Amino acid sequence: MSPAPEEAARLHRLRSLADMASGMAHEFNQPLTAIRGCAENLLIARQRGWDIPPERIDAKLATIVEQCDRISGLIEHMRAFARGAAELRPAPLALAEAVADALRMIGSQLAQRGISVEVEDHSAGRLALAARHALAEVVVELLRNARDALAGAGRTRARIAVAIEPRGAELELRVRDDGPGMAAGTAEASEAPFAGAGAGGGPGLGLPAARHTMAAMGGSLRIETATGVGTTVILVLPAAA
Amino acid sequence: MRASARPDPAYAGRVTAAPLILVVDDDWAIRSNTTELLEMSSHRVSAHADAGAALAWCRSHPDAASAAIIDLSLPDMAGTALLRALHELAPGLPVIIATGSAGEETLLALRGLPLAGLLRKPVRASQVLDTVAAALAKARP
Repeated sequence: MSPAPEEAARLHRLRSLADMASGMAHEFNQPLTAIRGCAENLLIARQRGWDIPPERIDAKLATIVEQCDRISGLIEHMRAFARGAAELRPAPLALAEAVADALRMIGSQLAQRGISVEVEDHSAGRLALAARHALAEVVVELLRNARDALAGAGRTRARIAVAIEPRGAELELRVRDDGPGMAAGTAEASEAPFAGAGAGGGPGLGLPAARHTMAAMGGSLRIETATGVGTTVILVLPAAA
Repeated sequence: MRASARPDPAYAGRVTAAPLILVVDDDWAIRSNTTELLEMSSHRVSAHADAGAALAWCRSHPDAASAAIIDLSLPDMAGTALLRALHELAPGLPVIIATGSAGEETLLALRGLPLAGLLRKPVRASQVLDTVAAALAKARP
């Protein structure tokens, strides 16, 4: 039995938050590791009486400052996201910004699993009408699905291609994985909430909720897939006038 | 002002034939800080972000490395698999494994492997130096 759309949306939000928390943990971990390493190397060099050239000390201190700023930026981003994710009112937006937001949340996690993400922006400066944070959340969902599809395929080196393309009075944001793809029946079944969830692959709860979010912004979501050719999810949004 | 770092007395005397340490970690922060630490303490370092690059380097530089520190979870290969591959390529090479997880599963995966040392992240700089020194001493009695 499928849950009511509101319940599905609520569960989707919870899952997004859990995934965001896990993604952010990765994102925070790297600058912290860098800061700790810089400080510790300076410390051990002092303790053991090694001479370190002043320019090397400067470089390490600069790295520490830079990485602290990176953490501040992440915190600022999380705050903005927390404020804005429920906001569905569309405004002119460069779609690449939503993609960059999404990658800030899940990018390290993907890299950690050997998945590279290539972004091609052919929008030539054209803006779409979309709610930035809600759209970023949808993109996170698509990247997460692609990640699961690739992991299910047991791939050690995998690629997700994100493309932004103008199409007449609309813009498309396409997320393509080169995973195993889905048979037509599975793709249809994936429209039902929970389909495939927890099965270690395939779309789960997220796609219907993502479609709901897209519709609320005046856009749409469709899937192109076939067994053996990977899956492309296409987000369509109206172009800003 | 001196141009170069004075080596740690504990490692002095090896400067002419500074041992080369192979470092394999996909985290650039760990890779660069470990490299710097080892270089400051008079080692040479060949650092790689994945197992494939490390193995390719080893094949083109046979017997060049004196020890290796490899991360247990690498993007292209499990650290344990890299350990076995290195063991085949360079049977005498002491290999130290660094891991962020100290769980039972990790320890089981490592059981029976020819490990020269285990570093649990976050690793202290002194631990890295001590473990490398012990591995080198063991390798060249």
